[in-house]
Amino acid sequence: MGKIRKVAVIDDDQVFQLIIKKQIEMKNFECEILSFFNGQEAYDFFKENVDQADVLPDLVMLDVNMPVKNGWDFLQDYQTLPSEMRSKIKLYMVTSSVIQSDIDKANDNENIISFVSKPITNEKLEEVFS
Amino acid sequence: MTPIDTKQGLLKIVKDPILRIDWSGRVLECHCHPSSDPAILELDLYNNRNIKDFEFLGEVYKAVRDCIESQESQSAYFSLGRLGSRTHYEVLVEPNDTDEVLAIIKEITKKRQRENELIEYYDLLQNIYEATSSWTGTDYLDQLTLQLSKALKADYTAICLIDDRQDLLETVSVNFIGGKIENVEWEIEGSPFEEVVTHSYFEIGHGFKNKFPHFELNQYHVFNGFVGIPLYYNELYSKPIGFIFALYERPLASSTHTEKILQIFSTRAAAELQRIEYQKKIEDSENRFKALYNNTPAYFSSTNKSGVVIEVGDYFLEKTGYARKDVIGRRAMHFLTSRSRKDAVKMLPDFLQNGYCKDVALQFIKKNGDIMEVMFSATTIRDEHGRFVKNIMSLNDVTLLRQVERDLRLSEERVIEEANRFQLLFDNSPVGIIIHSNGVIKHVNTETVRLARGNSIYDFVGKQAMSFVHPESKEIAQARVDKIYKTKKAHRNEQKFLCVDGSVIEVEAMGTLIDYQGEESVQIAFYDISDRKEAERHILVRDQELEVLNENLARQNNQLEEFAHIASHNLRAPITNMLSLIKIREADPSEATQAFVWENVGKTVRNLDETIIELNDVVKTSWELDKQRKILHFEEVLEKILNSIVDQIAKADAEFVVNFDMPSIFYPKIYLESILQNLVTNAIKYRRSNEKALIKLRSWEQNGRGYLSIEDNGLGIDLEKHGDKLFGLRKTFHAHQDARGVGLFITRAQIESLGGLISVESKEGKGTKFIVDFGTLKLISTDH
Repeated sequence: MGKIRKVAVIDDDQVFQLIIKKQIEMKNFECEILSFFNGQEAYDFFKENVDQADVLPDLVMLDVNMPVKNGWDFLQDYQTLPSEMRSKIKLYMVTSSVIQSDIDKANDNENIISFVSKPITNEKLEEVFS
Repeated sequence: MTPIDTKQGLLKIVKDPILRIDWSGRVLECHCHPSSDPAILELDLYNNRNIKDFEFLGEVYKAVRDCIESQESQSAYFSLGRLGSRTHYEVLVEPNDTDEVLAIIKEITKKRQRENELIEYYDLLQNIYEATSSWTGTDYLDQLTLQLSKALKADYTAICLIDDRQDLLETVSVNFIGGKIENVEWEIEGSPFEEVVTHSYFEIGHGFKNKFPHFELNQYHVFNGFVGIPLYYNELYSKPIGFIFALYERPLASSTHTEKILQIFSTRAAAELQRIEYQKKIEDSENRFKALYNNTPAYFSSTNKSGVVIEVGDYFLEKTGYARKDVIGRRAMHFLTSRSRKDAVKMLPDFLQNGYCKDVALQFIKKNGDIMEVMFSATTIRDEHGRFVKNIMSLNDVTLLRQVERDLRLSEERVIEEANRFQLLFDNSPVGIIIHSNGVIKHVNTETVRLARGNSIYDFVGKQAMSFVHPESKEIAQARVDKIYKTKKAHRNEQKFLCVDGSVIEVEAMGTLIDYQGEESVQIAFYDISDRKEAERHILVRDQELEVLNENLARQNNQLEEFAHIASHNLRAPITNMLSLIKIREADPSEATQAFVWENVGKTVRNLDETIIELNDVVKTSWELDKQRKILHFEEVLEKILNSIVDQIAKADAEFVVNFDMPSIFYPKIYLESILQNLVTNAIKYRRSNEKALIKLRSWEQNGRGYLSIEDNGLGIDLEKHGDKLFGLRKTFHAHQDARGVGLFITRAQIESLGGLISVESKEGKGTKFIVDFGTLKLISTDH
């Protein structure tokens, strides 16, 4: 997999959105950041640009608890999108939840590469961007 | 007249020859009458003949000598054969002088013949006595016919009896030519019997065969002479029993003795025949008795006057195990148990007086020591003169009978005891028992009377069993009865029982097929399970309540889990942010970064504070500990809420339509206030901006449950999309444009924790209607 050029952060927490942007800047990863505040917003974007690979992100950081459409509901919709498109996207579940049932559920989902617990460390961030 | 003249005169009279004989036997003088015996005259004794010259006169000569010697009269006898017959003479010798005698010769042929006859007669009688004395019965009769044939010089002698049918003669003894021959039967018709009876003595000199040509005897022999006389029993002169007769092949020479002889024989024969008859009768009865004595399955024995056993039956010996010698000669008492001996002694005087006793219960000891129960009977036998002969005793073995009797009595007692016990059990049974056959009640026990509130068993007996079955249970009861008859097995069921007073009890009934007084009957055992049923129903209700409670608990548990989930996420989220911000500040101490960090720390802390306050609200309202129920009036509660949100109402220009058909409810105050406030504020919050809010509130009661509905004309919700999350907590607590917040979650939690439900009906753009089901209305508090 090549260099990450576009990251989508799906999280209703505005502070987290700012923090992750700051962390990426500080790591000097040259990439564009797309911010979505719930699952619905993100899904609408993916669906709209389903065949424009340039517009779609290479990396997704998905929160669990969000209003309107939470992380799990988003994944259900995301599953309906073309697998060719999904195969080009690295999807991480990034959440403050430390509940085991969420971790297990994430590990069982084929679209999720890994469950990452907040706060996200620099090391973790490098790993995700590698 | 001179002596000589006298002498001459006398001689002329005496016709018998008179002789003067001297001592030498010389005939000195012979005087013979002209009509004297010619045989004597032929002897020519006149001319000095000597009697010694005639051999047959030897005895006379001896008599002459004796007479001269003794000078006493002598007599002598001689006989002469002349013309084929013999003449007998007696010579009387008298002394005449010292040396001579006078002898007179008298012919005594007839006298001698008579004497001979008498001797013969005597001999005959003697023979009869001798011949018959050592014989009895038919042997005696055979002797009679034999002797008769001798006495009468007959060829054929017979004794006949008339048979019972009066048409046959049966000989009982026949003698033919000196020998006994077989007995025969003749028809009376054609026989001389009737003639014999008519004449008492009947004699035919010759031509017997011609006179009785049909008499069977005449078919084989030619008999000329016949004599016969009838036979009579001593006491039955009127009716002859038969006759005795003699037959001669030659013509019969009649004799005056014949009838006499026949009479003697007939008397003897009749006596013997009678004796035989008696004996036969005795023997018959004796035989019958003997047979009885020996073969009857009774124990016969006889004793003498002093109670010593003299006879004993075979059966007696066979069954008692004794040998005859063990018994004969012992006292009968010896064989009894000591107790029975006393009984026997007690009844002895009666026995001696009456001559009999009957069915005295005694115990007899067998040879092997076993005791035999007997019924003792005895009778004294006496002869015709009333003299004691013997005591005949019979023992009837009743051991088996007694045993059977005892067993019977015992089993009877047992049966009675069982019956009593059964009756006792029946009456004291703690369950009701009803016996019915063909549907009609035959018997009930005390418990039935008590359970079914009757006064006596007569409230039941004779009535239809089904009349005590509640209509609801009739089908099941009939099915059970049918099953019992069909399978012959016990069956149980539960049913409603109709008591005498009309009340209904629930019973468990167990039916069994029994035999009651010979009839196939059903015995129902039943007991009151009304209390149990009530308890069961109670438990069932409790069960249902528990189920609801359990559901509620599960729901609450889910809510708690959800809450914990959200809480952990929402509390942790600000903390992770702050941790990240601290890292950023450490990594980049530049002023711009410092400003960024501080700005966001401030935001995060405010979020945190907000989250904690909201969580506190949820905890406080959702899991309020004070669930004390009170009577709450909807009007009052609503008024209080509306007063607290007067500004919002005014801003929304909301209108309320209130219809509290159920004016009040027994419910925790904080809960009802919280529920109403949430629903009312939601209705106001999600109103359509272009329209005046119209909010309808209604309360009512249905099937014991309380309901409240709040209907608005607001935005509505897409239930297909969001219905499942409507009352959930899977939303952030943050104030958000489309977040319905924590309110409905709390509302649902509160309602459900009290056993109620909340549902929603909605259409986007039309409005929403929430319906609260408070659950079963309560009047007293049962919550914990």
